[in-house]
Amino acid sequence: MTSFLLRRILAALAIVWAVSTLSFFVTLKLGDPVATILGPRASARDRENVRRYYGLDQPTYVQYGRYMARLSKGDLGMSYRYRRPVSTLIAERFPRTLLLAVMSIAFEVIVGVALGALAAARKGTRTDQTIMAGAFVTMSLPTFITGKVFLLVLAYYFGLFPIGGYGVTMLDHVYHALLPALAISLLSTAAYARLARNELVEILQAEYVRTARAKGLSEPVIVVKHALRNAMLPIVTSLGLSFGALFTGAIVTESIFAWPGVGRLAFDSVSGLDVPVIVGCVIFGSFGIQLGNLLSDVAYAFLDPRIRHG
Amino acid sequence: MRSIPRRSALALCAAWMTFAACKDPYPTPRFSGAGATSERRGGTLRVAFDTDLRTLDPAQAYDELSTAVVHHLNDTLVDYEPNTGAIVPQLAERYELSTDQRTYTFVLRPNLVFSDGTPLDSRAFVRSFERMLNPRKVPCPGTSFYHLIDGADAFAEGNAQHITGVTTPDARTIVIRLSQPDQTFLNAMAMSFTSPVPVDYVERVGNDEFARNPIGIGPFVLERWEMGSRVVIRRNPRYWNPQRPLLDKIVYELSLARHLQFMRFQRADLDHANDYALTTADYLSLNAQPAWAPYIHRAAEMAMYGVAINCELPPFDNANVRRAISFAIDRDAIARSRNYRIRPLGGIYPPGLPGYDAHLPGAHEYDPERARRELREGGYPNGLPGEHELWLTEGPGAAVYGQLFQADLARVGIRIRLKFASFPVFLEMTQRRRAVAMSFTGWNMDFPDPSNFVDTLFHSRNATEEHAQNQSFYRNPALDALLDRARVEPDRARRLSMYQEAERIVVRDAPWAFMFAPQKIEVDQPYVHRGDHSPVYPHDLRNAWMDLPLRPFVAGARR
Repeated sequence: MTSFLLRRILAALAIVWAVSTLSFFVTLKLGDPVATILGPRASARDRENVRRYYGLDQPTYVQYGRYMARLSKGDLGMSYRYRRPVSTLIAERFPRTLLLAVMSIAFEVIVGVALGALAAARKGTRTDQTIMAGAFVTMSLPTFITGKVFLLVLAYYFGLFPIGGYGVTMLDHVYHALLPALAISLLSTAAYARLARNELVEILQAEYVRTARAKGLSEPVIVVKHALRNAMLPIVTSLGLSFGALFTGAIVTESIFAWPGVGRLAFDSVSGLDVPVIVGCVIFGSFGIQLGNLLSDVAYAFLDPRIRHG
Repeated sequence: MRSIPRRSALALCAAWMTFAACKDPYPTPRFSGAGATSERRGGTLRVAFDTDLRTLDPAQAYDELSTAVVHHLNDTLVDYEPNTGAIVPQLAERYELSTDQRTYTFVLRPNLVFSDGTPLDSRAFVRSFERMLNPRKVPCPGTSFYHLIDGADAFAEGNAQHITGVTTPDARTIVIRLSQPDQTFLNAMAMSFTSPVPVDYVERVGNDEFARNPIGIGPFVLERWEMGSRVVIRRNPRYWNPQRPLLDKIVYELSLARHLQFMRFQRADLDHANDYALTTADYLSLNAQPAWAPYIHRAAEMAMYGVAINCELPPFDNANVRRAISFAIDRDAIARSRNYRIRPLGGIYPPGLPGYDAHLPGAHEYDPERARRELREGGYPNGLPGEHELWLTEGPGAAVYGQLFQADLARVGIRIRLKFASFPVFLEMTQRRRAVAMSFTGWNMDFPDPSNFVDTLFHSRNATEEHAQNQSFYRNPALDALLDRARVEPDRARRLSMYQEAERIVVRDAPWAFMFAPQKIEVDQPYVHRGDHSPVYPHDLRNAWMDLPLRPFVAGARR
């Protein structure tokens, strides 16, 4: 188990390094960062001053070397736009993105698995068909559409939710997070419902389930207590993947709902060509994905002894 | 009693939701004021921006939002009188200009203190001024406005400890000597870069912390800044003017997308919606609601947009071709495409700017016959051969303007290909010599003086190899000489007439196809009174007040 973990961690670090190097060079080719720091009105003389101040007058390899030297010490550099350490900017916003991620994952898993279980238990009935058709339609709806519809109908017309933003108190944050969390989770909820249903349909035909039925156990007990536990393996695997993906997917949702998380920071930094923040967010995102993968691998190995000993 | 079938109940519910969603829930304002006719103190005003706040350091703020907040936290030696736009003393009690037009003497008001109680005297002001002009201390984007101060360049290059042209004969007097007269120097001193900051505090906490937790001398102080979410400023109890400000607090909601801002405004979650909050749909719906009409404010914006034509690249080095392009543009159609939120413009200066000439001879206008004639006279009787690129970047309406431009020019025989680029790439390429033939661009004033338009955009000194502000790379020695004379001309009327002459030269040579000047359209809740506001800072709330307590809005009632 230790060497398995070590291998996975080393692979994750190598991927993070490759991603950060790639994003560093790609963003440098997107344009002159000084132009976005100062805008069109600054004179050539002031631009040169600012270029020198940020070390942007140095050759690319020097800039990259300095960046990597700082990165190896955990320093992601300074934002051009905000004149603040990138790590501080991300650290300030991470709890906000985490709150969204936790709320959406909770919704996805609870509602998705419940719907999947219901559909599997009533396989072939109108309920099963309705749930699966609903899941199919929901999976086809992109978040930027559902998000805007939710805002317009639920927040603006019916006044049930705040119109975007983050709120002031903790309770307020949770209230403001409800609608974006719902919008993010819709797609994955549908995916979990389909996954859980398919797994359960197969498991419910297994011999041990037939034996349980023969012993007179009720259908809900069979589904929840016996079948669902075995159906959870692929769901746990997907959970790790979607945890990482949530951080990168947050770019769209946070922008629609004006949620000031890491996704919104990444969006603003791309439009402002704030290279240190872009690279910082990419590293953060890839780190999140790697962590998600690692956790799902570990959980999988933990849940299934065949993998652990294989 | 028969129960309603489940399917029917669901259908009814869906129909009700659809009906409710189609009906505008806020056709009128929700609240009006108490009916006060004179200024009142108190209240928290909430506004929103779709961008994030970058910095609160006055030496570094140059974008719209940072400047708007910095303007409320700081003061400058001189500022603009709201109604006339004249420059008046602010932190300075008075100022004088020497007879040789080169030496400015400012006398500070007595007993000035920063919001933390630190006193401001002339030496503290000069330390702050030198910090701003020292590129090794802070990356100020506006140092070039002050390079005519004696010794400023030597100081910036690190060859002098202090700026020789700035002295402090006593604790309240600051003397600034220029190497040559500059009639825009007071405008430069009214820019927020010059706002004094407590340098000891800055050096103790560092630039980065200061940019986040500033101490200023303005009417408001920072209460809190939640990154990416909101900034709250409150009244400065130590402000030198006890009459101002009137509001207790201003809350700036940050990074709030445009489509959310107007929804919030209609629900009275925001008290003021600026131009950026109004999408085309919002603007049309607002205009269709008579109850909102008294609260919509329109004003000319000191900005100009058009197409910069690269005078170095053939066939655009031919003035006939450039004029043909400009006279081919149907400016009214462009204004119509934006529901007249912009006004057609045939010259450099937008309406309201000193020097604006409503009857400008030779002003560019829609005249396709003239465009064809210019092409013939320029040696292209059958139109221009080949296809030519127009560069565009993001911005409201840019794609539509590009398409209308393309169609207009096709009608006179000029084929255009539209090229969209991200803002950084657009700036980099369009400000580089011999790189881009035409670009849709604009200029937003730094201060209300014609020199800020014509000198910046058309003086050959600004046609540099890279980062050129003269994006058409237009060079005219006669114009340069006229602009250099106008810059030092002390007589205002004569100076303005020189700038009008400069405009006529530029319009004749057409290095730009001037297109339109935007209109600023804002809307307030009925209980908000903006008061007199700055002609330079577009989001000035220093004189704003709220008519509290709020009452439910009644259509037709007095404001």
